[in-house]
Amino acid sequence: MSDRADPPAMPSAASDARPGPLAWVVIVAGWSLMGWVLAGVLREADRTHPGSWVTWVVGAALVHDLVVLPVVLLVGFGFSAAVTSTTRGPLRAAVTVVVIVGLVSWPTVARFGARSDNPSILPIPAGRNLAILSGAMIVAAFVIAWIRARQGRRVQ
Amino acid sequence: MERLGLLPLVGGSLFLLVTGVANIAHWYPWRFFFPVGHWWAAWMVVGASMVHVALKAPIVRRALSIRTDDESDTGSAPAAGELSRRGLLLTVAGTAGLLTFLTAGQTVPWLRRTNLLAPRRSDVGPQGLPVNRTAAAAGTTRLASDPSYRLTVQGHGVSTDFTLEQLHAMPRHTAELPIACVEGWSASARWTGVRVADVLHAAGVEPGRVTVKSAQRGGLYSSSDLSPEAAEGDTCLLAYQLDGAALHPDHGAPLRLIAPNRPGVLQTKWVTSMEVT
Repeated sequence: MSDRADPPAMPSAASDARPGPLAWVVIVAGWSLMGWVLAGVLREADRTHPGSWVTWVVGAALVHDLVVLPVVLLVGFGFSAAVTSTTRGPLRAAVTVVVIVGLVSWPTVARFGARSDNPSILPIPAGRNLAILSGAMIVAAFVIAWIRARQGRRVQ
Repeated sequence: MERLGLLPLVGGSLFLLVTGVANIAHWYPWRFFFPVGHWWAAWMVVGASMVHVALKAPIVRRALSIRTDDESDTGSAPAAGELSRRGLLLTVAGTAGLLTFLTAGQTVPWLRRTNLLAPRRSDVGPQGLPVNRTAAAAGTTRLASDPSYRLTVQGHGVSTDFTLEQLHAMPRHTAELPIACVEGWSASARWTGVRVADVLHAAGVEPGRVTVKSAQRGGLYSSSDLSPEAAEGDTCLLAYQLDGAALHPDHGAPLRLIAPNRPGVLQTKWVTSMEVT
């Protein structure tokens, strides 16, 4: 994403950015709340299984920062290098939609929770539907890019 | 401190999203009990959000208070192929809208045809109604045909047993009520059975808080409570029919609780006793 709008010069930025007394009250309250959460997770260990709970909280942040973010950056660089500027916008939007929809529906598509004795769980052919949707989005992106390119040539 | 506060904020938010999405698809690749783990994580995100907002508020306030007369201060138009802030927000909003459109049909009937990616269909299941736990999973398959089945009503020193024949002979009532699952799907159906209040009255038990117990094997939801007001309700039923046909074992035969304004998980199935306190 381009972020070319430089922030305006800000006088006495360092002192203004410091939290005031009210902010400190909120900060202390927030950390206290998180401390209460940790105590609760440990107190209800038979149901929270603290090791598993913490693994998922910390693991989610690590996967986000160490896997998802680098992959998104790499894909972004790939787009910049390999895709023309006319195609880039629509294709980036289509890929974004497809990836997010795919991630959110992945447990449904992969059918990890399917049970042979209960056909009312995961009854929809979500994998087929996701494939059709993804294909349609990508095709639509190229069609939009093609139309834009034609319009651009006419203007020239 | 700001960096440290980002860990519970980012990790907790992703925890809520990822485990929530997996939960509605009945996938549990963790050891904690989902509702409890989710509940604590939600409070952690509230605390982390408070810290984050308090730390960022001075920066936001300062940025919003600066008056700019120069148009260049508001940024420049993105070049061809670059993504603007507006473009990013539109993409995110459009994706959220599309996801809603593709899944809301599991609870909104007129969107059923666009339900392409939800974990449920509100019309798929025994008798056209979804179930979360089957009779086989609950170990109650034979309960409906068990000749020794009795509904036991206890309270205030009184204990009375009812056979199914006795319950079927009592005034029957029909109500259109939904099963509204906390996992996101819901479906309405026409339920027929006896009023809880009538059963308590027939048992000679004074009204009060009612604990409805199930024959199901284990689980934290093998019983549920009815407030005195709810138990007296006209549409608070022990149902034995669904849409005019005998209740399927997966829906709780021979007898299930169905009442208004309750999440599906508290519409107790395979009812064997009611205790009044």
